Amino acid sequence: MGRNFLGEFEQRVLLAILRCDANATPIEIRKEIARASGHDPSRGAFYTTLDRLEAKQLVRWTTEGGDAGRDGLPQRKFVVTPDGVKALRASRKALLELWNGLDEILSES
Amino acid sequence: MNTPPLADWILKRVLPLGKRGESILGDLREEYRSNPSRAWYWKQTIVLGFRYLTHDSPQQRLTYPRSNVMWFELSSDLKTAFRNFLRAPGTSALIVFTLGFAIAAATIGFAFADLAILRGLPVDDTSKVVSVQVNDAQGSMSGAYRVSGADFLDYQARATTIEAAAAFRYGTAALIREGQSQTIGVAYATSDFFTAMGQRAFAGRVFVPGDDRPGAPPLVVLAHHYWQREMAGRGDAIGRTLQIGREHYTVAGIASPDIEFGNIAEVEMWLPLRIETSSQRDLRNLRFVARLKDGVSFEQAAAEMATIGAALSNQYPASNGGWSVRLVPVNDLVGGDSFWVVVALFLMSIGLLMAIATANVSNLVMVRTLARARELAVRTALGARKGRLVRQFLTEGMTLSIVAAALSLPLAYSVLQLVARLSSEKIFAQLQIDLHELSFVAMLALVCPVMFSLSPIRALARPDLRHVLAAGGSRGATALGRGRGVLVVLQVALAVILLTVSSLALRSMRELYAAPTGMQTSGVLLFGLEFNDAQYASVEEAHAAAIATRNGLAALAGVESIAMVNALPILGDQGSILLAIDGAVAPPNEARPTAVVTASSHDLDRTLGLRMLAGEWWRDGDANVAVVSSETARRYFGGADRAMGRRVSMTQGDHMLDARVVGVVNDIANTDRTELPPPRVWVPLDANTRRFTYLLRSANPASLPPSVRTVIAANAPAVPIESLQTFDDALAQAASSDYMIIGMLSGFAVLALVLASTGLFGVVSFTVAQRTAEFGTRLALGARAIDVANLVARDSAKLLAIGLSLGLAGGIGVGFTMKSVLFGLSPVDPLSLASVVALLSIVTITATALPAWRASRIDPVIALRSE
Repeated sequence: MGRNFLGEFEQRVLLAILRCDANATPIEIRKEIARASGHDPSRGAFYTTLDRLEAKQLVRWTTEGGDAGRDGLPQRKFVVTPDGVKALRASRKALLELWNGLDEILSES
Repeated sequence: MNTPPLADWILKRVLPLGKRGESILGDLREEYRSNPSRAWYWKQTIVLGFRYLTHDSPQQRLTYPRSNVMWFELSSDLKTAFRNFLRAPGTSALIVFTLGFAIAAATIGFAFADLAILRGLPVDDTSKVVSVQVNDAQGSMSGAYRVSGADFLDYQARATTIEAAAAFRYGTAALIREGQSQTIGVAYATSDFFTAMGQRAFAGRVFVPGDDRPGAPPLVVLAHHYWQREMAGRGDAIGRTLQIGREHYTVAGIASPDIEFGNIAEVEMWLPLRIETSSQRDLRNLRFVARLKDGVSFEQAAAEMATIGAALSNQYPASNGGWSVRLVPVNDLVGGDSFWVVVALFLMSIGLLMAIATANVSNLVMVRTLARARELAVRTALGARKGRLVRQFLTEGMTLSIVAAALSLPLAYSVLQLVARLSSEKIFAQLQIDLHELSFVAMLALVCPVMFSLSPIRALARPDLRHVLAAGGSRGATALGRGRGVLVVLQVALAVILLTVSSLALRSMRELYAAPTGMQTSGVLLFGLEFNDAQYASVEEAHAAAIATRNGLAALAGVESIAMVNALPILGDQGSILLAIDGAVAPPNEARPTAVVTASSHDLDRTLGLRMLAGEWWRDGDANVAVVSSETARRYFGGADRAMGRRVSMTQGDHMLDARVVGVVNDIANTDRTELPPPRVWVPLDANTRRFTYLLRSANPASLPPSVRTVIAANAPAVPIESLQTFDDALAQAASSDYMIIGMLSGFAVLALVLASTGLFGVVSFTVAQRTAEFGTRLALGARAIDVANLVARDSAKLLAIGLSLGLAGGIGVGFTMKSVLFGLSPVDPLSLASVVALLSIVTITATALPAWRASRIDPVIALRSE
C-alpha cells in the first residue's frame, strides 16, 4: 500500500476537482460529485476529506475575495497537484487491473 | 434572510481557524442564499460541528494553535488525570467507591429530609394557608383540635380576612364494582377545599362552590395515585360513574399529585362534605383549613378568628363555653418536636458521613500526591505555574467525584425503592430521586473535590519541592504526610458520634416497643369488616350479619374466644372525647374529663387477656354499662374501688350514652407509644355500628385464615376482608417506619465506621512503609519483632484514644439534644457508650494488626539496602 493510497471518496473528490477545472470551488466540487453519484455527500465528510487530501499534498488551494452573497467571506479554489494526479493514476491502474476480465459478470444489461 | 445567529456562533467556534474555516462558512452562506431554510442551516451546523469536534483536521493539529488555551489545558489535564488513574487503579477505585457510597448514603438521607421538609406541604403558598384549631382551656382536644360543622359554618360566614375556608375529614367508603364491595380511603371535603389549599385539578375539575350543597349532583374527585393505579391513568375516567355506597357519583376530575402528602396521600377519592346547619355543635370532628385574603397578615386573621370564637362561646355557652380558637401556620403542622429531632439527626448524619468520606479521600489523594512527588517536582522545576498544578489536582478530583456521583445515583435509587417496598408506610413510596436530589448530588460532586484536594494543594504551596528531587522520592516527602493523623482522628471522632447517636436511638426504640402494651397480643388474629349500606340497607341487617359472622367464627375449631371492637386499641384509636362524670358537666374553665372510648363486645377481656382490677366485664346483652381503665378510675373517680357503680356519660354516634361503671381494667398503651397510657372507657357495641374489627384468640392463629375466609364468604359474601393478620404483625408493621428510619441511621453509622477504619488502616500502613528503614535499623540493632509491632500499635492507639474521647464527648452532646426522643434511656446510657468503645477498639486492632505484623517481619538487610 503506497503512501498515497486513495480512499474511494478521496478519488471522487480528486476527480471532481479535475472535472471542474478552473471553477473548482467546494460548492462546485460537491455538485459534481452529487451529479455523478446521485447523492449529496455530507458536508462534514466532504470538508474534512479536502483537509486530508491537502495534508497528503494531493491538492492545493488559493483564495479569492468573497462577494456580497458570501458576506465577503473568502472563496477557495482547488487544484490537484502533480502528486495527486500520480496517485489517481496509480489507483486507476490498480482498479482496472482488478476489473479486467470480469466484464461478463459485472456488465449491467 | 439572515442566517441563524446562534448557528453562526457555533460554527465560528468549531470550524478551523483562518481562511479555511471562513471559506467553509462562506460556502454555507452562499448555499443558504439560494435556499433560505433555517432547518437546513442548522442541520449543516450540527453535521459540521460534530465532524470538526470529533475529527481534528491534520492542518489544525500542526499549524493552528487552539484559540482557547483554557480548553486545551483542560483536555490535557483530563488526559493526565486518566493516565494517573490508570497508574494507580486500586487507589482510584477506592476513592471512587468511598465517595460513591458516601454520596449515595447522603442522597438517601437527603431524600428522607427532602420528603419531610422540601417536598413540601400540599399547599401552594405556606404563608397564606392556615389550620384553624379549637381547644378548651384545659386542652381536652389534645392533638385533635377539630371543629364542629355548625361552628365551621359560623366561622366561614363571619370571617372577612379569609378568602376560602374549608372543612374536611378522613373516612372510608364502599366502592361497589361489579357487585363486589371494596373499602377505599376517602376524604369528605367542602367545596372550597382545593381553593383553600391552592391546588388545581390535574385533569377535569376539582370541587367548585355549590358542589357541597344539598341536592347538588354527587361528584367525586379522584386522587392522582388512585387514577394511575386503578384506571391506568386513562383520559376517559372523567365523566364516568362510580357507585360509592348506595349513591352513584360522577367523576369530576383528578386532583393534582402535589396534594399527596402525609395522611392526604392515603386518600383515594375526594367526596363533597355536606354540612347541615342544624348539626350538633359539640360534635367536633372536622379539620378546618383556611386561606388568608391577599394583604391580610397572619396576626389580623388570628385576631378576627379569636373574636368570632369568643362571640360563639357567648352565644352557645353550653357547647362552646371555654373554647378558644387559634390559627396555626400550615408549616407548623408537620410532625412534632421529635419529628424535627429525627430530621436534624438525618441531616447531621449526612454531614458527618460526608466529612468522614472527604477526610478519607483526602488521605488517599495525599498518598497519591506523595507517590507523584517527583513528577510534580519535575514539572515545577520545568516552570509549571502553581495555578496549573492546582488546576490539575482539581480536574483529577472533579473527574473522580463525578464518576462517584454517577455511581451513587443508581445505588441510592435502588435503596429508596427497597425502602418503599419493605415498609408498609405509604409515605415512603413518595421517596424519590428528582431535581432536588440530583442538584444535591451535583453540589456534593462539585464541593467534595475542592475539600479533598485542599491538602495536596497546600503541600504544593511549600516552596521547597525541589528537595524532593534531591531526596530521590519517598523519604523527602514525609512532611507531606503531616496532617494525615489529624484527619484520622477527625474521622474516628465523627464515626464515634454517629455510632453513639444511632445506638442510643436503636436502644431507645427497642425499649419503647418492648414496653408492655397492657394486652396479650400474641395468639390474636384480627381483621376488619365493614357492613356498608350498599349491601345492608338497614343497620339491623348489618348488625345481624355481623353477629352471624361472629357466631360462625366462634364455632371454628381452635378459636378460644372472639371479640369485636369498633376501633382497634393502640392502632385504631379514635382520639379522646369528652365525658361527664355522674351527670355533672364541668364548668367551662375547669378541666373536662376526656377518654378514649372504645365500643366492644362482651368478651374482650378474655380475648385480649385484660386484667380486671375491680368488678367484671359486662355480659352479652347488657346495656348502659361501662368498664373504665385504671387511669380513668384514678383521674376521674379517685381510685378503682371508688369508680364502681358510678355513672359516666358521653356521646355515642348520634345519641348520649349514660352508663354505669361495672368494672375497672388495666391500662393499655397510647397510640403514640412515647406518651403515657390515656384514660380509656369501654362500652358495649352501638347498634348503629357498621364497621368492626374482629379479634380471635387461638393457640395457633396462623392456621386460621383459610377457615376464617370460608366463614366470612358464607355469612357476608360481598364484604371485603381488611388486613387479616396477627395482632403482633399489625403492631410490628405500625412500628416498621420507625425501624426503617433507625435502620437508615444505623446504616450511616456502619458506613462511617467502615470508612474511618479504612482511613486508619491506610494511615498505619503508610507509616509502616515510611519507617521501613527505621524499623530495619532497630531490628538490626537487636530489637525484637514484638517491640516493633508495639511501636506501630502504640501509634494507632494514640490516634484511637484522641478520636474516641473527642467523639464520645460529641456523641454525648448530641445525645442530650435528642433527649426528648429518647425513651426511658439516658444520653449517657452506659451500655450504648461501652458498646461503641468496644466496637471501635476491635476495629482499630483489626486495622492495625496487618501493618504491625508486616513491620515486625521486615528483613533488616533489605530494609537497609533500600537506603
